[in-house]
Amino acid sequence: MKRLLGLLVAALLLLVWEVAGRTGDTGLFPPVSDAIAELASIDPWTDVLPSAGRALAGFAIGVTLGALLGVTIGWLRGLEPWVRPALEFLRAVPPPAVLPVAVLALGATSGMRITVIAAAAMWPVLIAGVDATRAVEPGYLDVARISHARPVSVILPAVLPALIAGARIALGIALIMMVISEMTAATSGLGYLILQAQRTYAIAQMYAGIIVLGLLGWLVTAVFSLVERHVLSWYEDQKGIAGG
Amino acid sequence: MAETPLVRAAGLGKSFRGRRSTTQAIADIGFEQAPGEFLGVVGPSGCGKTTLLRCLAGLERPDTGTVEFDGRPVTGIPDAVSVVFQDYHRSLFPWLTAGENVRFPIRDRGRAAGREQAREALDRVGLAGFADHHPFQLSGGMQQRVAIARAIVSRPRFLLMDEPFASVDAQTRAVLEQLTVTITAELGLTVLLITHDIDEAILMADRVLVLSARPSRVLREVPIDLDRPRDEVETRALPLFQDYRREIHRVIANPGTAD
Repeated sequence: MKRLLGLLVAALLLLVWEVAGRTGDTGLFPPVSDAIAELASIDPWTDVLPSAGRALAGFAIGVTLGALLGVTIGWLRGLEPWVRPALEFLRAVPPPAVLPVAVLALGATSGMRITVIAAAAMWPVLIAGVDATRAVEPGYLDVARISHARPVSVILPAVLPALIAGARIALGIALIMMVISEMTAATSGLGYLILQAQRTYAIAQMYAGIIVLGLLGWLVTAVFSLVERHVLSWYEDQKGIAGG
Repeated sequence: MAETPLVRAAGLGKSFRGRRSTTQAIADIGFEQAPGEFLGVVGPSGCGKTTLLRCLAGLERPDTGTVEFDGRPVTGIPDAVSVVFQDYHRSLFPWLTAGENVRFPIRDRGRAAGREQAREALDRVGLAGFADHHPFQLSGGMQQRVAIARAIVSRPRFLLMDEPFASVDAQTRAVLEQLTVTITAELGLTVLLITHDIDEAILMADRVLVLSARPSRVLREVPIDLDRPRDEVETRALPLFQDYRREIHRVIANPGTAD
């Protein structure tokens, strides 16, 4: 029933879009049916997949680096005073600002785009990793020591929920950086397609590109939630019991 | 003591340096413990009992003095030592099931053998059939049973318990006290029990070590000459039990004047 209500509201919004598009006569706001028809002009193999691939590669590299660095910095407490100011500064730099630097350093390549996506997606995981590692229950570490186990064997599962929460934020950032990186010095990709359509007054195609972006975002978030539920089943169950 | 002691501590001292000041937790603690002996350690709260336990387990290095286990000085964490920590919330891993938690200390022993030993340990603490439950699905008392099962699964020779029943209700506490005495006797374990509960120490131990306030030293050793099995109700009613309790209370209340 609740799901039905949500669909109803979505359908209503689409209807408003359609009516508004049909009544307007500027040509700058096409009805949704035109935008959907233009979806056919977007080639999944050349327009969507390369974009999605770069986003996922950048996301994977960024999350891995963030987790490794975060847990390491959090674990080696002596390291933190050395790196904390630098980290605070670097994370405060809005990621799109490094794009011109990356273009200069790496050229207008796929590797450059993956690099800026990774550099931006790394931060939420890194920060979550530092904080969660510092907060690992000392009792867990005592049990590990008394059982002759390596500390990492209890640190990793203990910080996993925080890392995954960070990765969820990183996923959104990766998609944003994917689009932005494709709007600079690009000749392909969804961001390029949207910008190019706007510049050539292919307004319906511009909206079609935005719709594809929305669908892509929805799809990766859904897949992420599935993985999350699988990996953190104990954590979700525990929260459920603690909450109920 | 006729037997060679399993554990021997001499002149143990440990301080913690804070930002402003240094706190001396224990000053000069020495004792010996025979194999199979159940030793209770009581003292006023904050007297450094946990610090003592951590030094004995090898988790903390004492500033002064030595700990010997089985005739050898303790430098790291000895293989045959295991610990039941005070708070099961802080010691059981929530991401593992009860069975997996119990198997953690013996995770290198092979899957089939490990599973079998974990099942046996859970049986002993009365949790047969709960191996697949996660800690948060169990009551506090059951979680502390899991912690006990984990501590005995590797068949240690020396079991250290740090106020193991402080976080459970009174009825559960009595049951767990009996269970611990039974299991450790069956396994022939040497046990050192830290507690702030004098009755608990008298009910469970062969000998009670009374510590002073911080910086703590041993005020008195009280051998407990009560028959076993001891009963939660009957034993407490014995005049001898009351004498022990009075003696220990007096020593703690007036450490200077006690004779």
